[in-house]
Amino acid sequence: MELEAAKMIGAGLAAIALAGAGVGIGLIFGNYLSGAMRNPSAAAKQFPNLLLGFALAEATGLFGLVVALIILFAF
Amino acid sequence: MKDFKEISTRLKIAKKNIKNIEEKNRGSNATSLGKAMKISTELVSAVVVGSIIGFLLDNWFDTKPLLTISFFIMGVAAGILNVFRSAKKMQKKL
Amino acid sequence: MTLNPMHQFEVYRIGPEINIGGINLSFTNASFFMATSAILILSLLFFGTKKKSLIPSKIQLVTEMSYTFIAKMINDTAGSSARAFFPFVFTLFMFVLFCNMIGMLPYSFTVTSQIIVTFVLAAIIFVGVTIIGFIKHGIKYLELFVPKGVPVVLLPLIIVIEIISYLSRPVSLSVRLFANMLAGHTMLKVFGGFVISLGLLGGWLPLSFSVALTGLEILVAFLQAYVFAILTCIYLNDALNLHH
Repeated sequence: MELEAAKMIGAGLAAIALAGAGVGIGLIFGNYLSGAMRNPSAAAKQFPNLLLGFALAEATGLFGLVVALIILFAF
Repeated sequence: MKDFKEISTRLKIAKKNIKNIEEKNRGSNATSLGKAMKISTELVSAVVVGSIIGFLLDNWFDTKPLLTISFFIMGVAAGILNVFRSAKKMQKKL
Repeated sequence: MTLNPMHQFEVYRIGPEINIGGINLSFTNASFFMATSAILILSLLFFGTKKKSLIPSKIQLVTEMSYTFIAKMINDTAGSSARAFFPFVFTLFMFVLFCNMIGMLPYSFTVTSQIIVTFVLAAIIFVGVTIIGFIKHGIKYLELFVPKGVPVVLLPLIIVIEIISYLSRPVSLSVRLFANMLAGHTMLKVFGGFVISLGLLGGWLPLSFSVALTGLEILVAFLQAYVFAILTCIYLNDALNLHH
């Protein structure tokens, strides 16, 4: 197999990692919403933790995207 | 009546003390800018000087890039420590 | 005409070529946008504190809000002993925020989408926090790797895992900011390319998506700056008050 074709296939496979990011972000926001429905007055205090959790979950997915970009452009 | 006069003089003295303290703290914008530049140039100059020393030593000993990276790390450590100490001193003055 | 979405990340030289000791130190478009965001931050803070009136004007309100935001963040996460780090965290937050926001303007260059910029910021934070931890606690700083209430049998494995996760902090900090900026801007350019290639009839669909994506990117710019700053405060809390 030539290098160009292998690069494309590798980049496509590496981008599958973003599925994990989607699941993780959905879990975090879903749990925050269910907690906020039970106790709406305490929900505003946990909002910074929500943003932190969202960014950390997204970061792991984006590591996969970075691997895809490295395969495409650095080899 | 005597209590009233006593309270009013004490109030006048207290207000004058507050005005004295306020005038001491009212530094101009230029002094604050000077303090800010002092802290920021400490961090930047420590990192730059550390990297330059590492780079020159690398050129002399031909060990690229090992010495540059280690002197960069030492420069960062020195810069952060300097920033921490001068910021603590400024906080204590407040 | 090839529509290359990666063309926006090219660093090129502006002005004369300055070569010192074999290293190319000339002024690039990256340096220009870094200097622009530094000047913008300085002018915002300077004009915000010019007239110290009791009822603040608009610029003074923005300055006071950003100060209170960062001060509250440091106080909540790292405690009151970390007040000496306020200038550092404030500078970090404002610089990343302004660099991200300036990158949203058309024809500009996002400084934080270069891995070397975010890596140097993360390296400074990592080395600084480690040094502060060692100076404040001595060799007892290594107790960070031994969490409480772990059975002694598992202890070697847990210590290795904790050390690896500690060493991965600068990597994750830098790659998070870099990947978010890179992915966002690449997607914007790709959808812009779709608008042109679908022409007049089909071009409205990717255009509406581009508008929504630009709004999302502005939110992501602010969020990434906030997450960078709050992770710095959390690492400072780990160093200053060992897990207590």
